[in-house]
Amino acid sequence: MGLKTLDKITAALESRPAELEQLRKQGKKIVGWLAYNIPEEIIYALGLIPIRIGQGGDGRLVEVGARHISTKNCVFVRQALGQFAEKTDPYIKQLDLVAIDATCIQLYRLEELINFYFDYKTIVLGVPRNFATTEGHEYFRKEVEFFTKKLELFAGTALEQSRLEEAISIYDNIREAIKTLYRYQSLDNAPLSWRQVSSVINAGYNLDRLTYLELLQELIKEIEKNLSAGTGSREIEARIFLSGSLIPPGDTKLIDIIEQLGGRIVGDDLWSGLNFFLNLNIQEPTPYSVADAYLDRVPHGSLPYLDLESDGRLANLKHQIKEFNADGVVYHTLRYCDAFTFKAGETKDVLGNVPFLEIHTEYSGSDFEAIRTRVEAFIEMIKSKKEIAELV
Amino acid sequence: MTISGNYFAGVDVGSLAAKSVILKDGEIFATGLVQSGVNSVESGLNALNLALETAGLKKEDLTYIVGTGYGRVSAPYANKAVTEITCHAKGTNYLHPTVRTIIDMGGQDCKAIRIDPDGAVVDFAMNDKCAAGTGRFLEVMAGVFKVKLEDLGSIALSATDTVPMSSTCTVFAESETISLVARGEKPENILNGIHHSIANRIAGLFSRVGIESDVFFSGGVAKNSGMKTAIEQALKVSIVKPEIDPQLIGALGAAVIARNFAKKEGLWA
Amino acid sequence: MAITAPFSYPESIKEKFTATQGLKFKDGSTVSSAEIWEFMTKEAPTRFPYAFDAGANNMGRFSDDVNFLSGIKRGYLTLTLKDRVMKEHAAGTPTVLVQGGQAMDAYYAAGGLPVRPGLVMQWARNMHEGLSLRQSETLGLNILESGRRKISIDACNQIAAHAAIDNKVVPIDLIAPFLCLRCSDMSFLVETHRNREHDIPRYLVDYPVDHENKPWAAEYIATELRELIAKIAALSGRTVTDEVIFDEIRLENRGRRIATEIADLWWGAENPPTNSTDFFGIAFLANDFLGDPVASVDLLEQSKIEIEERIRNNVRGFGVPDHAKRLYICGSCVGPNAHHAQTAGAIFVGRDDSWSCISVPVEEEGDPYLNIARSMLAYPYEQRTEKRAEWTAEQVRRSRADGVIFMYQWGCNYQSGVARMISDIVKEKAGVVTTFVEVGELGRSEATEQSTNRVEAFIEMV
Repeated sequence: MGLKTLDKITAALESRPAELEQLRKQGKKIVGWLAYNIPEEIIYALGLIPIRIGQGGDGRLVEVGARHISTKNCVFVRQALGQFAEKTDPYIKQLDLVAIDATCIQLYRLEELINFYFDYKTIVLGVPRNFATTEGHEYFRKEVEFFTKKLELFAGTALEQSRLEEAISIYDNIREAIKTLYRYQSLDNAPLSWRQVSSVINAGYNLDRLTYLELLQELIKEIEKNLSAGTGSREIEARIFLSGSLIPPGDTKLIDIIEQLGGRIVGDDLWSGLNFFLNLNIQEPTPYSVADAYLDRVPHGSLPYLDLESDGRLANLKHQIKEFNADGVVYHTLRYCDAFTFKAGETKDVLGNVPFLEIHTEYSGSDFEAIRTRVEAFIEMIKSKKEIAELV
Repeated sequence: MTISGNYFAGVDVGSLAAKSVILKDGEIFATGLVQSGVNSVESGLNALNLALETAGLKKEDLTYIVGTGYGRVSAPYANKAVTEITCHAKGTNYLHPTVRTIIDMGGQDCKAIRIDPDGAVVDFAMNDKCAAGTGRFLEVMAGVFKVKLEDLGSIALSATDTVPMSSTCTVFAESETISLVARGEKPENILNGIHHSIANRIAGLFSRVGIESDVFFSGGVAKNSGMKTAIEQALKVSIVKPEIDPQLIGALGAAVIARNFAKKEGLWA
Repeated sequence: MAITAPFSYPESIKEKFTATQGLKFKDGSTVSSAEIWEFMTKEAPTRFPYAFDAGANNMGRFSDDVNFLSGIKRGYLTLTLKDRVMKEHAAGTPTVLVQGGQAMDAYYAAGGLPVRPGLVMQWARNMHEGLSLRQSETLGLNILESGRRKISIDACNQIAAHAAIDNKVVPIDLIAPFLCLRCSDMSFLVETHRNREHDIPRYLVDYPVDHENKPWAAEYIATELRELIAKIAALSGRTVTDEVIFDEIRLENRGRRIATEIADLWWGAENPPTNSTDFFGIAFLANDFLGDPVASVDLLEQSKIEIEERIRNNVRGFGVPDHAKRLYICGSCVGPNAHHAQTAGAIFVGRDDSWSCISVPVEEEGDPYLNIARSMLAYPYEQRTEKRAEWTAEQVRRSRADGVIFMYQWGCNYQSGVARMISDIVKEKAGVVTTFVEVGELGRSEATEQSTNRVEAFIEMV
């Protein structure tokens, strides 16, 4: 599609590790963080450099990581552990502090392990499992306040309200931009693909946030200038919606297979994807307000919710499937990611007649053909349904 | 000899066997079944050639060929490739139009498929990356007990007891089996337990897609009477008697789809 | 397969046994030792033959130390659990699914009957009487598989208890466990009940991570405990005042205190006064209470007297090998087979899971909700892993263990995740050999050779 801004983003990424090295020499500190509820605005407002960490798809690193945990743990956690063990990743090796939230308890265990085995300085942000209750909110407010105090000590400076307000504005704008890009990628005559939006999100893990916002806005301008009318190809396409466990940077197996087989990904409700940018409304520039806003977003599947009817994550999933005009859902679960695996059957029930395929996998390539067959059959099923519908 | 009529072929190359079915217009004309080798192109061609030989035809006489099974990704002799899920659906519907649910157990995977009255797939589920519910697992067990694969079912049915087994993995199940043998457990009782354990895995797939009568059991493992009984008990259903060798269903479906593609592309003579 | 004669208590000990005191229960009733004897020798072997399977593989096998009379009474409490729970339930006591290894004070105080997953499964299997070990296993397995079918085979075998509830094999009125950090599956398994036809109410008492020096963590739990107790009290009809809660706390504290005193005595004895089965049963009683804290505490008092006497007379527990290798067991829910270990020359001297539960008394003054919350937060097993490991190393030293086995169940993302780290720290701080073993055996007795091999090899190595 030839969007020049995408090339600029790639170039910025390439020079980022060297840039960070320079910044560290000037006394700046880098905070790597995982996973969903870390209030990055506070890290940024304290003059620290936030880097979102976590990659997937590398079977070798999974094996390295498994030596310090077990083969019975989530592959994402194992790979992260492998990265911390090897310290060759240009970002991981430059981290001065690692902040992990306890949304996913296996990631909390990761924090303990990298602290113990690899000497990384770490801090933990507790997250309430009863996130929808008043007491859960109270608890999280205190956790974020405490977290802020620890960061202040680390940064050697106190949090200023004006700086936080500024940070919130930048991040609000980033979120809006990502949402805009998602809308564009789902159009019939889309100016960019879901995959390209995904790589833009991944770039945002590492780039300076202000630079990133500027690039995003530039990208949107470029898209809008060249947006053409028209309804796109007449060929029947299978519009696929991705749900389930995260698909982090580097984990391309499923995406490659879907695209190779002619499926088109048109949206997702992944916590590593769109969900992260939705419904975050920080009312005031205070840690308490930030805490409330984070807890009130689309919930993460690792936080249990006991009532089906009022489940916000499911409501959002149903809404997004319609918004993106998806034909079917591929529900991707990682082995030992109990949070999403245990809910596969339930999600299928809730979605009713929406075609639903569960892919349960990990980061090795040995099940490539098996996944291919399943996805291909699913696409055949969807296309055949659409063909019949067109004839009627 | 003048060949009259349209001939369509389906070739299903699986991990254990390659199968072929030739339709003459709408009727089954010939079939072929060979053991799969390490070269899936060759395996597919061998199966196809066997069917052609039986039919007294040459490859050029075929109007359209569809390849399926894991070997479909390398089937240069085929006009198109379609997954075995779609093929099993069409093949079953062709022979048994009242069937709405298919259990397929092949060499390396098992499937639960729901179909509509026209044989279109409406839903399906397959086993996860694990051989504990597949033909390969039974092959391993036949090796452990040093019996023929085709005798496993009747041995299991002769059991007087069922040893409870619940391994989630073939390798673990094999170790479990060896330990039980060492403790003096009767082979038929262990095999009975194994068949029930596999049936549990199958039942798990159906909790995702549901079951509606009539129910059909396809794939090589369908010829195992012990497996059929265990599945009927686990799912509380009655399985219809197959009109042909259930291992040929995928190839049959591929041939039916070949016929449909040929019609759509205006290739019927 | 070799047929072994079923286990039975010999007539020769009847007179001695029936001369001892019976047990008191929380409803004021009592049972005499003669009645206990009658049950354990006549009624129970007919109703629950599986429990009397004398095969070494039977994980629930009775202790061979028939002269440890408290052990027989513990067997009585275990086998009468189903009858007692059903009777109470019929009389209006709400049954509540809880976690293993959490505090039970709040539940009993509110007039509820907490049942952990392992006991739910035992109860479920006992709903069919007259079953052999294999038949009982098969029944349990079928329930397990029905759970796996609906959810996933990635789940810990605890899923069987949820399936038993879902399939109405046992009547549970409220699903309300603490979300202790020890269990990776509980929150998600409780969540699955929301997509079921039954409408059993559910509530989770959250357990905050990384809670040291954070008063708001205890406040959070305390608020939830108020909610929990209100829910149970609404079902039981009991009026729950602070004093009612403190009564329960005081009772359970007595149990915890007696159990820790017994542990200290046992560890200090030259000869282990009981075998592993009887020793572990004591810690379990003081955490779980088997449906009746009054009876359990009564039994703990009796156990202590017996053990003191044995130590005075330098009596060794029956079956304990000469120069037994002393092993400390880590991990919850599953553990190595004590009978096999004994045959291989070892004795188990402690278990971090159970010992953690009994080591923290609840404060008996002030705000009972806050006190229960603070005690839960203080469980050594629930601390950050490094701290848990240091405490475990201390336990290993106090119990004079020669080695540590860390065992965890397939599907447990927590224990599997920390096994290596804890083993490394204990090895360094306590100077003993350690190993960790993954098993798939929770709730099963057959086909355990894989883990038995590993344990026996480790024992040989120690």
